Amino acid sequence: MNTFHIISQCRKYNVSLWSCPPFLFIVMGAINIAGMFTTSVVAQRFSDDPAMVIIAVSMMAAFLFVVGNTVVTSFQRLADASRIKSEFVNIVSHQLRSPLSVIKWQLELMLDQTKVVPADSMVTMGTIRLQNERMIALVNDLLEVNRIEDDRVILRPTKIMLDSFVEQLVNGYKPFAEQAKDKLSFICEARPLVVFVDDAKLRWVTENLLDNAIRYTKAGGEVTIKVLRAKNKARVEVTDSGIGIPATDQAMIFQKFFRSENALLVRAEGTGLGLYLVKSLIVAMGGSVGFASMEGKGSTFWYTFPLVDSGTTVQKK
Amino acid sequence: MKKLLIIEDEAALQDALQKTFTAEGYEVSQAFDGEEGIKLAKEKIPDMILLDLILPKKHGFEVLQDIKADDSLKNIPVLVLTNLEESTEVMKAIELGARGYLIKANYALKEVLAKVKDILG
Repeated sequence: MNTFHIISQCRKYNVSLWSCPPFLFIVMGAINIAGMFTTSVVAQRFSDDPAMVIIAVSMMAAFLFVVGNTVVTSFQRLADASRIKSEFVNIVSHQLRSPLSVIKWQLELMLDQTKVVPADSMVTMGTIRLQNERMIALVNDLLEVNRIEDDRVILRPTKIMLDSFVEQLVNGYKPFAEQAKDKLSFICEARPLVVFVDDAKLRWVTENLLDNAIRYTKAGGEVTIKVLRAKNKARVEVTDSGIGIPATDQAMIFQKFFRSENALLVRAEGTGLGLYLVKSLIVAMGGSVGFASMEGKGSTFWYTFPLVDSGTTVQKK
Repeated sequence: MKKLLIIEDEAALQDALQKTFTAEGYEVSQAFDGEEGIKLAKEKIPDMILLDLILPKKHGFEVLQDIKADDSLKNIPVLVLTNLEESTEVMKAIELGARGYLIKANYALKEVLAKVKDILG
């Protein structure tokens, strides 16, 4: 029962067992007992005086107690700081959503009643609206990062046809690609490809990859999305002829807040949360993700999900 | 004319919702706290209730519980409109009988309107 109690406490801290204060307390206790026992055996071998043995054992016990206490307290502080940070981000993000939704709805009302907004102010209003949406997206990303770190991602998986799902998203990106003067193509090598995923999360992931591909490809470039079957998996590849990722940055590309040097030159804004979230969400949904890239030539980002039979029911995760 | 009750403490959000629904021909009643919400629900017997969760005097979950415990109100569909998004909150709202759960920051007024029309049929 006590073991279960410790596991549930560690779950509350959301740290691994070896960083979990209650578990470390028990480990340090065991080390203390073992240390005292070993000291008494060694001391008895080197001294016949019981008083000397007692002193040696007591000194060792005191030493181990101090070390153990320091270790447990330090990890306790770390775990508390991590929990407080997580709660803080959560509260602040939720609080930010209130004024952001007020601005969003009031702007919507204003833009719908064109009589109120003079025609020459419409562009300005459009900019305010875009920035409002950007802030909302940023807050949503922060909340999602927090949920991933605390292992609280909300998934609502259903069966979807990945081929038509991706095709629809690509079609939605045609105006953006045209605006960027990039050629956007969709190739489907196999259909239907049925997978079991949270469609809202996968939409976010796929749009993020499409957005990056177009954004980091210069005018006149090409972005190709390919959907194929690879053994028992469905695979989506997003290939661009863009700026690519420098070899030295490739190992860090899925890290939180990381942005490569050449990406910063093309686009100064951006949080470096996108690809971190892409990877975390794909993995949380049971898929895998990767990329191949050459600086100056372009990149291919891909993800795969196990294929499921469209006829059978899938047990929810 | 369909009757709508909006329970929301933020005046600017109330204003946006009221203008949107009135323009669409709904008869809108507004409550700015949980207690007033229950009182108005009993008085007006609306066709649908839009409910915020963090409310003064009475939390949205308690309001929802009270609505579902009252024979004259329990069949009124309740759409939760909030900025809280934790799985525990969504689950609790659905368990307590809410017909839908929308995150205000992620939905345009037009989408809220479409959802209400969809529920009211």
